[in-house]
Amino acid sequence: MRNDLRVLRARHNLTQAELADRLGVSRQTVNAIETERYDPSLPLAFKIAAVFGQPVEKIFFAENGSGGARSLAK
Amino acid sequence: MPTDSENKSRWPVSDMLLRGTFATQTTAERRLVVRNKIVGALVFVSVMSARIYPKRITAEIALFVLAAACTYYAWEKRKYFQSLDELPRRIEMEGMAWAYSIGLLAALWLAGIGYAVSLHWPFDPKLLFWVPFLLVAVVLGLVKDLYRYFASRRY
Repeated sequence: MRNDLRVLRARHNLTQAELADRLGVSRQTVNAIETERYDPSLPLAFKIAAVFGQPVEKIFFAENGSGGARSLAK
Repeated sequence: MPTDSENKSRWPVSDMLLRGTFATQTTAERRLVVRNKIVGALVFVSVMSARIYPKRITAEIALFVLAAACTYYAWEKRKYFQSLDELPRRIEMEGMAWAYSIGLLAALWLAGIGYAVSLHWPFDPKLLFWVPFLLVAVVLGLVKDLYRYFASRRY
């Protein structure tokens, strides 16, 4: 999973610690998400999206598109 | 823009190795550290009293304090674990899974080796030391099976 968290955080002039405080997680967790070493849980992903006022899919996106899953959408 | 230092995770290594915490500075962590120091001091005093005054009652008190302290430590550790956010919790879970697997493997190995040794010297009761290891392995396995059963009921 890839994400734009670092760019968004910089745009909002937030440090990792400040963002972590808003999300109620540790700074290390924010760092691990930013460096794409850890994929957050859905509730945390939605929290992040709420903090930046953006939909989840604008912040997080799959590295290989659908990951091989066949879409039902035409 | 983020600074270079923010590219690093900077986990608190000394706290993780010496205190068994992630140095999150939360209330739960401070409580764990302070209460564990108090419990540790109590254990030290009771064990030292048993050494200085070697009587049955002091030995029994020391044993009781030790058992109570271990139980209390496990309880506090559980509360601390619940207070962790998702990444430290996952790391802690993986650590516990490794500890379980290695503990089970070690207990089975020691029980097996002990049993093999006792077959050659069946009349020496000291060589029945494999029994506790087997019990530990059985208890570990049983706890995991019970957890698996009860956890699966929730989903």
